[in-house]
Amino acid sequence: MTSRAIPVNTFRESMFKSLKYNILTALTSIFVLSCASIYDHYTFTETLNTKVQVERLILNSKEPFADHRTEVDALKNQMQKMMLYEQSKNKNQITQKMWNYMNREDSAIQDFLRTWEAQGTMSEVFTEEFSPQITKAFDLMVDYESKKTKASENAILSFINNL
Amino acid sequence: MDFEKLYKELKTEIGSMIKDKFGEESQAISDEVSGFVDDSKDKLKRWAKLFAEGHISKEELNLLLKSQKDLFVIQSLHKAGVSKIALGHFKNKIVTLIFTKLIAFI
Repeated sequence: MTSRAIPVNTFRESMFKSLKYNILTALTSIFVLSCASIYDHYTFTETLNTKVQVERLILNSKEPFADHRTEVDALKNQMQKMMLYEQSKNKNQITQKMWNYMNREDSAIQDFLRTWEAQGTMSEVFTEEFSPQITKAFDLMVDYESKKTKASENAILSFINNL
Repeated sequence: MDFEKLYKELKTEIGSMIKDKFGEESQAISDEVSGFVDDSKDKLKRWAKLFAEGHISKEELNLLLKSQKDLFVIQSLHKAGVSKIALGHFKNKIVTLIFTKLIAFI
């Protein structure tokens, strides 16, 4: 077996490469952990789905509540599911607060479902006024999630391009 | 129904409520709430008319007012969240700058 001496320059280069790699790993970790909120495509599509479900129910509330009990239960489950899903994510306080707020017992949506059940039907004028109010709130939630895309993805891409 | 009189009284009463509840910080909160009430004026006027004419029930009017409050809260959260994202984006730019300088230095 023959042993060969490693040239000093090659050794230095290898040391710098290793140091650079360690710094890079550390900075990447700091960067990823420091990102405010990461875009979540599931949240985006499911918020849109919830909006469609709510909108359909509001417009159907001119009809007897008993005919739509299944859809009402489905909406309640969907809203509960979204709230729990958002709570499971870190650095997600704003979206969590939005879902918590929409899910609270005396929110307009929850109160609407109770009033519909109690009254049996809602007036047509009411459904026309109430629907844009609620869909606007969901539009803001969708818009907020989509804004996360631009900020986080652009930052990540610019970071990767600098590697 | 004299809506303008009702609206003026509503704003005065809300202003007093804010002053009592929030003291020193009342001005900033008052401005935000005042903006919300002004933005809601047309809707409030329309809903009050629909109720007065019997097109919607008292419970339905209450739901509409509640929906306006919920919308205000979601709008405020959205505004705060977007500012937070912008700040996060700025922080990331700083991290990238530090990283680029450091690597070039090494």
